[in-house]
Amino acid sequence: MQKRVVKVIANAMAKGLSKALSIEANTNSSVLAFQPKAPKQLEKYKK
Amino acid sequence: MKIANIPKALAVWLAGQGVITEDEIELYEYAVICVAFLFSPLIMALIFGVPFCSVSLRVVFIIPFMVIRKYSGGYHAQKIRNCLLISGILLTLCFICAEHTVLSIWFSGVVFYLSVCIAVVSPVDSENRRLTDEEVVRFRKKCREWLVLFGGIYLLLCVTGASAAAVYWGYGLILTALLQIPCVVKRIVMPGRQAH
Repeated sequence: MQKRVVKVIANAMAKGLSKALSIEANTNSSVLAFQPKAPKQLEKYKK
Repeated sequence: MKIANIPKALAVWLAGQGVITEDEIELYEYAVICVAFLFSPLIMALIFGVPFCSVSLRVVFIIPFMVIRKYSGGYHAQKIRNCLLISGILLTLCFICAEHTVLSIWFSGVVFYLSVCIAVVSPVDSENRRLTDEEVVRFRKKCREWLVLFGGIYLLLCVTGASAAAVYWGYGLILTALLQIPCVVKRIVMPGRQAH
């Protein structure tokens, strides 16, 4: 039961982070005054 | 565990759970950092604005900044520490100024002028996130669309008598423009050294 809950949480996190990657790939800039270096794999999230 | 290690630790944990591959660890580490950065301005505005205004006005201030900056770009510090310091100082200054600003034609003129500047100058890219020509066109268009919408909201706030909200909304746009000034100066002083 606990393993299943952890797996559900991990899946939800991965989906949320995937959405964040999609936003980052299709916008210009970080909102903060610091821009982290974008990894090459971010290209696949570009529209 | 150091704060700086949390994104990597989370990404490694996700790989351990089998929801991402080992090749994607670096990508999802970046994603965790991006999520933290996405909400940081809102959290910072809520904290730094405590002595100055209500929660709603702090949110009103930061929304146009957060949305427009995603497309317009602007100055980025080399280190996170400098970024947080600069952000804190600028936020505090904006709140101080907003507290002492009375909505007027002059203020609206400044907001309008700086919004036009943002529309002309944007997008500004950075060394860590270079834009393709297609992205420049796309983000410029998006930035201008958001500026028109947010300009309309500013006018609506002015006309409906929500003067405090209009001032804080205007300062959100002003802050976005201010953070482009170093990039504009760099473009003039060192033309050809930047992509866009």
